[in-house]
Amino acid sequence: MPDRIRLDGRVAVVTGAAGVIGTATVRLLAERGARIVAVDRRAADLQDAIKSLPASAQALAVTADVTSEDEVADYVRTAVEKFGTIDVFYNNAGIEGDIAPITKYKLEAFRRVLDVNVVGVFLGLKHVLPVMLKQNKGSIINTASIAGLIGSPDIAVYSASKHAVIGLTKTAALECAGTAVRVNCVCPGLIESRMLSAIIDGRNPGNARVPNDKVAERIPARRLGQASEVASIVAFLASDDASYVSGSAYTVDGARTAG
Amino acid sequence: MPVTLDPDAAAVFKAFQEAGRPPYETLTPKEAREFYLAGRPVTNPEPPELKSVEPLAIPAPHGSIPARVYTPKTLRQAGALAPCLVFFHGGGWVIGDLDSHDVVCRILADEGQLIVISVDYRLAPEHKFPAAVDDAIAATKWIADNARKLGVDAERLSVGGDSAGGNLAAVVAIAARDGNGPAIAGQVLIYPAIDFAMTHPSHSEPETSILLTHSVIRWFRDHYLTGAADVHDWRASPARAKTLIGLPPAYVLTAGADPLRDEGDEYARRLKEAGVAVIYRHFAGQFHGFFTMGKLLQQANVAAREIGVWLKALNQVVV
Repeated sequence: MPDRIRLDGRVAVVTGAAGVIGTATVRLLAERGARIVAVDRRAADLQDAIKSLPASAQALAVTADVTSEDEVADYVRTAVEKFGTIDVFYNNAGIEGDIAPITKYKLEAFRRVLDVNVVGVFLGLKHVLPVMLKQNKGSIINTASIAGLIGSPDIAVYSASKHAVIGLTKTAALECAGTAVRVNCVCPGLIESRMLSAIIDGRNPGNARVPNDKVAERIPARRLGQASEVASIVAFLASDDASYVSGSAYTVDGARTAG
Repeated sequence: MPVTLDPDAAAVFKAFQEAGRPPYETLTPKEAREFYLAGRPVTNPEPPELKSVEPLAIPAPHGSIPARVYTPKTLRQAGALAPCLVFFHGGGWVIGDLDSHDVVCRILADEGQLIVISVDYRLAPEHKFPAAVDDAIAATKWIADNARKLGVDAERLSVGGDSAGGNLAAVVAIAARDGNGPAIAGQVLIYPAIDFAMTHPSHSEPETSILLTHSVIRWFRDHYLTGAADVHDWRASPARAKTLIGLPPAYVLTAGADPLRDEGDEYARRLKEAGVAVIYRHFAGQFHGFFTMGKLLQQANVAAREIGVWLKALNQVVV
């Protein structure tokens, strides 16, 4: 009997595939049977991410910058040419930007974060949605953040960009009315990753690293999250098990934003 | 297992219910064939324009097997020879013919950029098991033997079909592996009938009994098989083959609302375990028969395009 959480034969496009959460998600989607189109700007890291997949996985690496409309159109075209369709789109690429208070934030840096985190997500939606709407079916998952739900000192633009992702998600879900195309986002909390370290280090200049225990004190779960724990929500939202879930923002944060 | 139909599939199912068509099992086979064919224009999408569509008569011990050759405008020729998909139509071995699956064959030829030869094997109850199997094997062999004349590359010969046709394609692939037929490059099994024991859960769950109802399956079976012993014959139930090792690469498609769902799912899994390269696709929100309904159900077009892409990757000539 087919398992509704399985993704056998589904074609999944993942952007930011070379990042910690992207790589963990690519791996889980492949383990559940999906065929993968892995997209990232960093070609070498992308190859490493693909190499870590199980031997049975079918995966294709495409180097692209999500802020370039031509390159976005290219990865969408490649997916359709190589695998016939796109069933799942994990619209995940994003950057944290500089870590500084608003009064000291450089305009150029601010615009760069908006470009990747908002324009990149928008372009992904713009080019993948027509493929899915044409077939009346598909699942899109955007990566927002708990910073898209609450304020976050020193990462104002990151927070603003993730608030925007939630807005894009809800709007896209409504624009898919009457079809089986679903659009959701995940809001990861403090996930053990390069990005989290960069944010914490940026907020605490000096030689001594802030220990993870210290960070965990402010999380009700009393630990950092793992990338695999975000991946499992993405894989769920990608699957038919989530057939009535659309327009949602799923927090994966160990209750960090619960109260 | 609960089945949630996609919105378009739910709408089509509702329209079918409201149309109040008589169930096939209340008709004679001849009437059922007429009803089946008459429904096609409502559900079939606009066919792509092909280079040519020609009739063919395949010699067989009992006379000849009618067939139809579809040549698309874009053909992946190498040295004037092109890959070919031998197609067996669905219809429970009782109904269906070259016309009922004409549009589907045109689409597959166009999407796969290959020659499709659709085979009009003999139907039950006039010709019971294993007449359909004999014809399917004989036609495949003849096409391989006459490949050059047909412009077909015998090295790139695949078989495929939907439902009863998927059953015949799976059987032809097994027979060919065992020496009774040419080398087969790939098998396209669209919600195939795999095991006549009909003991998988999807054969009794009420939510799978949509277009292909539990009752019509039994009507088909009783017309096709000569008796209970046939159930165990791998030529009727490919699941009963001694081993699946050595079978050609497979594209296996199942639908959520389909009594045949679980046997297709299991066959895909067993093929994988036997070391066969398998693309398994489960269309959870669709019902048995959706593949021919591209006018109403977009997932049919998704599946056709995917099969085309799969056939193209399968038949690539490495220069």
